[in-house]
Amino acid sequence: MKNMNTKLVNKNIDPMTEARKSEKFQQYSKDIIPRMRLAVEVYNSRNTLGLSQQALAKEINSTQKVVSKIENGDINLGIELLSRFVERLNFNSDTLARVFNCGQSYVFIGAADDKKGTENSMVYTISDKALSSPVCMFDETYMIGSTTLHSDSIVIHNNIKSSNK
Amino acid sequence: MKNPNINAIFNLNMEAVYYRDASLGCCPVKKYLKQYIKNKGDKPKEKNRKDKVLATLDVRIQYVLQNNGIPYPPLIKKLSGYDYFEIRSKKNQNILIRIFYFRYEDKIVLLNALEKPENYTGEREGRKIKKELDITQIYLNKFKNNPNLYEKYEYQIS
Repeated sequence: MKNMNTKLVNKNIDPMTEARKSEKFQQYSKDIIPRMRLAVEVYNSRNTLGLSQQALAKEINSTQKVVSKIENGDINLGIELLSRFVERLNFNSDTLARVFNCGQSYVFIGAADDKKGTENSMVYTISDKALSSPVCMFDETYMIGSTTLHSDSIVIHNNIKSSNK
Repeated sequence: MKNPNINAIFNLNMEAVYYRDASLGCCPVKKYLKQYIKNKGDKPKEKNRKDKVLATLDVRIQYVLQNNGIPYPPLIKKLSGYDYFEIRSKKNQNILIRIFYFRYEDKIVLLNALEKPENYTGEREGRKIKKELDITQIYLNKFKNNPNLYEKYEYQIS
């Protein structure tokens, strides 16, 4: 048995390529992503509020070590503790949608500078200028898959067209 | 530094590569990761542990790619005194895996990896880590002198 592994190690194979063949690996990868997203959101919100890890921990009745572990994406947290984070860090539906990768319903107000893609996979590019000066309302409401922020625009990747006006 | 939306679709304009050291005749990060290749004799628990470690590292490497190599905290950190960044991931309660990378043109170059005990005491461990960090800087300089010193990191869009 050991020899077999030695043979694999000696071959110039990529360990990641090997690991990806495993279903468990795929499942773990999926499980890790929300934890990482939460880590980023907690870190950003805490800094926006000007709180140290210690101060936040005290306010939510936890410890600095736990906050640190969450910000490193190292632990899963229970629903009670998550609720306390949500409340203290003023998470809104956008934040939670980013963490859990849920779609959100938006009505676009403003003019898209660019619109391309297929009916069910559209990418809008909306500049800051267009967003701040509503010219018209899009005649579609979409479930949003994700948004990408750029320095001068927002690209919205929608997954499902939910309704038409 | 404002963190971008992590929920963005993977925008893989960049590629991740393993730095290959000519004198060692191998890629240090790849060599490190090979200890997590599953052995047919491994017990299920051990196989799961190996999968978990690699999955965690893989997701973090893809996160770096997604952000074009920019070291957004808290998951990626800049090392003071060195020209590269680190991806940190827990192996278990006591051991931290550190993978060092830097960005070169359209590549995220995975330079070196090491395991750091969480709460080490004594100068010996500190010296050992410092030595590895210095070696990593040498790898970086070697790569800059010869940017063909790499092997592809195979990733997949999830």
